[in-house]
Parts: sequence; structure tokens; C-alpha cells
Amino acid sequence: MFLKSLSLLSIRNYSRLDVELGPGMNLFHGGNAQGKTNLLEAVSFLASLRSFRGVKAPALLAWGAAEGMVRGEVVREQAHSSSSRRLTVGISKEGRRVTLDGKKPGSVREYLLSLKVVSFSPEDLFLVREYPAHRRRFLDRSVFHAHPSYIDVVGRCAASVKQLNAALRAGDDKVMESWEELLVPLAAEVTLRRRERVAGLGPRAAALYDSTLGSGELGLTYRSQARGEGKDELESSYRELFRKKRAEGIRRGSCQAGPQFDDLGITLSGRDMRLTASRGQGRLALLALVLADAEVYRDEQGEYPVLLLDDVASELDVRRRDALMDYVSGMGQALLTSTDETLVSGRDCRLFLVEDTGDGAAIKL
Amino acid sequence: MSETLERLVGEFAKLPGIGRKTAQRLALYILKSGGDEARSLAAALIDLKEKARPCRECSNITEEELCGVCSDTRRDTTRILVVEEISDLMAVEATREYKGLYHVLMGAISPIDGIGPDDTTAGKLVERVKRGGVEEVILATNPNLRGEATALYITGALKPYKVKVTRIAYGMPMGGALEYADSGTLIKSLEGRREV
Repeated sequence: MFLKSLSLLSIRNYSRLDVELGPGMNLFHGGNAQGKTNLLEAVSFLASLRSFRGVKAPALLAWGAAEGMVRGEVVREQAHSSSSRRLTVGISKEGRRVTLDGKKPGSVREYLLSLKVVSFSPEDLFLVREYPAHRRRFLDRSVFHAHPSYIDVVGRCAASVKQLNAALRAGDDKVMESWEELLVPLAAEVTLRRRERVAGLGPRAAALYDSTLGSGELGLTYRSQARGEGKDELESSYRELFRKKRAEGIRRGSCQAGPQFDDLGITLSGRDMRLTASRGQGRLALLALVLADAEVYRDEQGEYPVLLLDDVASELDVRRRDALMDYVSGMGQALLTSTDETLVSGRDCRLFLVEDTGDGAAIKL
Repeated sequence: MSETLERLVGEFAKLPGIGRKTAQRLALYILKSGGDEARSLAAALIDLKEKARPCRECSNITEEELCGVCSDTRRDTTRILVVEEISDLMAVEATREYKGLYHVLMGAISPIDGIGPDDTTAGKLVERVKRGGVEEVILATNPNLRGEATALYITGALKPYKVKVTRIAYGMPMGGALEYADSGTLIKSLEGRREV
């Protein structure tokens, strides 16, 4: 799949932008603080309805603007035909409104399924180094495209955890038991799906890390309180966990078991990267994870997602840079940013010079 | 706007599903209509609050001790269908196919909203089963999180008693089309498939 065109209206430092993109590599280059990352952020927002900078929709609006818009035309190549869809997100102070081909989609899910991006941004480094919640969200998004109804399971699970927390504080044992029992199959499904996903991503990420990006053995493991092989075993494990940890849950006023405590463990040659990774290693591990996600998506859907690589080259030595660019040029569409246009010299790549002359950013071909 | 009109508009606007505009239209209609209509509406409102009360057994609405269903000797008293609201009872009753009794919970258990079992009539249901004569309790709470949790709660509460507890099925709506069904319903329908 690829993004054929992108339009922005009053987004960040763009008052208006219409740009045609190539199906392969596209490099946005230019000096610092010209609006390169803003472009990728807009694409990421178009696809996921979340900013990779972790801010809410209105924060994307240009300074002083009451309304803005991101629009993209997505082309998907099937075996014998290609189809295109127009995705639009209108943004206002109140939030966002999405349309698919000009119409309100049947569900947000339908909208989200129509464009998959995987993105690498230096600001995502916390994925490796810090919060487990980011790692869980990364996995959840990855699962979603293979199992769209998973988004509902995650939602129901989170809502049930909140209810259980309230029940623990209210103090009725029987009510706690009911909500625990309701949570059991939901928790087991979330853990199972994420664990399957990690099993699929693991070998891919390890191969990428060792051959292309770094050297050493990158390992992904899914860590969960729950034990067991299949869904049934996970369910009985969670049932027992909820029972065992109820007293502590009552004391703390929140339940102490469930997939909200799970985590994606990332190791390098057996050592936990959260504790021991250098910046450079963290960066490479994150890249391996993101590219593995793209590969798994292709295995399942038969086409690559759109790859967003923000400032990917900095801090990489020349050998790794070249190896990475070789690899990326063999994938589908990639949108890259860099201050240095030689990143892609000698390769088939569309170049866009991004410049903000003071009255908003503009693109020169 | 005149004070009396404003007052009525305000009262109408408190009702569920009625916005400011509709409230105004209703109030103006009353203003135009004859005095009899206004008096009969007012009387109906007051009668509902003064004469109607919950059925001693099932909490359905009634003017007597027992509601029309509970006092009907032709009903099958070995079955109790448990619903959240009176409107659910009315929906099932409209099918004219169910011949057993009901139990209206008057809500669903939701700790977040501070609604516990004692804010529903779940305890009264257990009392009814305890008294004997009930062979099956059919749980027809809504298929959402609260409804499911409430069904689980009641299942647990009825465990000590010799009574069959069943849950209504999940599946496709009749006359519906697969392509328009939400995926949650479709998945449940697939899980609940039967050999033909």
C-alpha cells in the first residue's frame, strides 16, 4: 500500500500543502525546524488517529487556526487490481472527525484498517527504554490489523479493569468475583494475542538486528503474570491470579493482576535492554522492532505498510546507514526525513526540500 | 418567555430524550389545547406516581400488590425471566410467547457508578428462589459488560439452590444481513453455531 498524495490544511507550520508521493522512497530534507517531522506526524495521525508525539488532536492545529485537515489518498495493489481510498481527518478545538471517501465510515475500525503505517521516530526511544504501556500499545496496534475485533477485546478488558477497581474499593466480595470472572476470558485473549504477536515478531527482529542493523542477539519475550499454553490454561491461570491477589487489590484499591501488568521484554545477548542499552543500541533495537512489524504485516496482508522513518540516519555509522537504506529500498513506500540529502544518493528516491521561510513551511521538488 | 411557560418547558426538558426545542413544542401544544387535555395529562402523571408501585414479587409496575403477570394463574410459575428494566419486560411480553414469570432488577451492577447488588432487586430474586417452586431462572440482562457482570453475580448468588440457571443466546438479529452486522455479534454468532 502507498500514500499517493497528501494534503494538509492548517497543520503545525503548514498553512496549506498538496504533495504527490512516489510508491517507493521519498525523502524530505532540509534544515532543522523546517517542518519535516511535522509531515510524518501528520501521516502517522492520519493512519492511527494518534500523534506519535503523544499529544491530542487539537495540538496539531497551526498556531491560531480554529480548524485544520489532513487528507491522504491510499492506493492498495491487489493481485489483479488496485484500489484507492481517500482518508480525511478534520481537526478542530473539539477534536477530530474522520471520513472515508467523503463519507462517515461505518466504524472507526473500518477507517483504521484502511491505512497501516509503521513509524520510527527518535521520540519513540522510550519504547525500548521506558514505559511498558507504550510497548503494550505497540503490540496492540500490531495485533489489530491481523485481528480487527481485537480492538473491542482490549476496550472491554480496560473497562472491566476499571469496574473491578471500583468493586475492590466498594468491598462486596461477590461483586468483585463477578467482575473478575468477566475479566478472565478477556484478559486471557489479550495475553494470548500479544504473545502470539511477539512470537511472530521475535525471529524477524532478531534477524534484522543481527544481519542489517547491529550485531548481537536481539530477543523479544512476552512477560505475563499468567501461565499456560492455550486460552483455557491462561484463563484458569488468570482466575487463580485474581483470587490470590484480591486481598492486595482491596488494600491498594486497584486490581493487581491482568494484562495491564504484561510487558514486552527486549534483550540484547540475554541482557535486559531497559537497563543496559546504549542510545545507539536502543535505536537499532527500535528500528528492528518497527521493520519486523512491517514484515509481519506483509506476511499477513500480502503488501508492505507505509514506512515512516524520522531522522533515522543520525547516530548511525556509514556501514549501517547503507545497509538500512538497502533494506528499506526493498520494502514498499517509505517516507524519510533527514537534514542530509546524500542519505539516498545513488538510489531511486523522490526528493522534497522542506523550507519554512517565515510564513509557513513549503515544499520544493 | 412568560414565567409559567418557561416553567413547563423546563419540566419537559428534564425528561429523557427531550431537548429544549421539543420541550418548547410540547408546552406550546398544551397552551393551545383545551383545558381538559391539560387536566387529564396532569391527572395521569399524578396517578402514575401515587397509584402505581412495584409488584411485591417481581418489581414490575402495578396498581395492586401483585402485577398482572404475577397474579395471572395461567402463567408457568416454575420459570423466572430476569431483566434489567421494565422496558425489557414489556419487550419480551409483547412477543406473547413467554408464559413464565419475570423479575425486574431495576438496574445492573456497575461499581463505577456506585451501583451495587443492593441497589437492584437481586436479593429479592434469591428470596423467591429460596422459597421453592422455581425450576429455571433465565438471565436476560443486556449483553454488555454490566449486564454480563450482573448475570455472573446472580449465577453465583443462586449457586446454593437447586435451580437451573440459563443465559439467553447471542447471535444475529432475525431479518438482519450479515454484511451489516457488527463484528462482535458476528463472532458470537460463529462461536454459538449449531449443527443442522
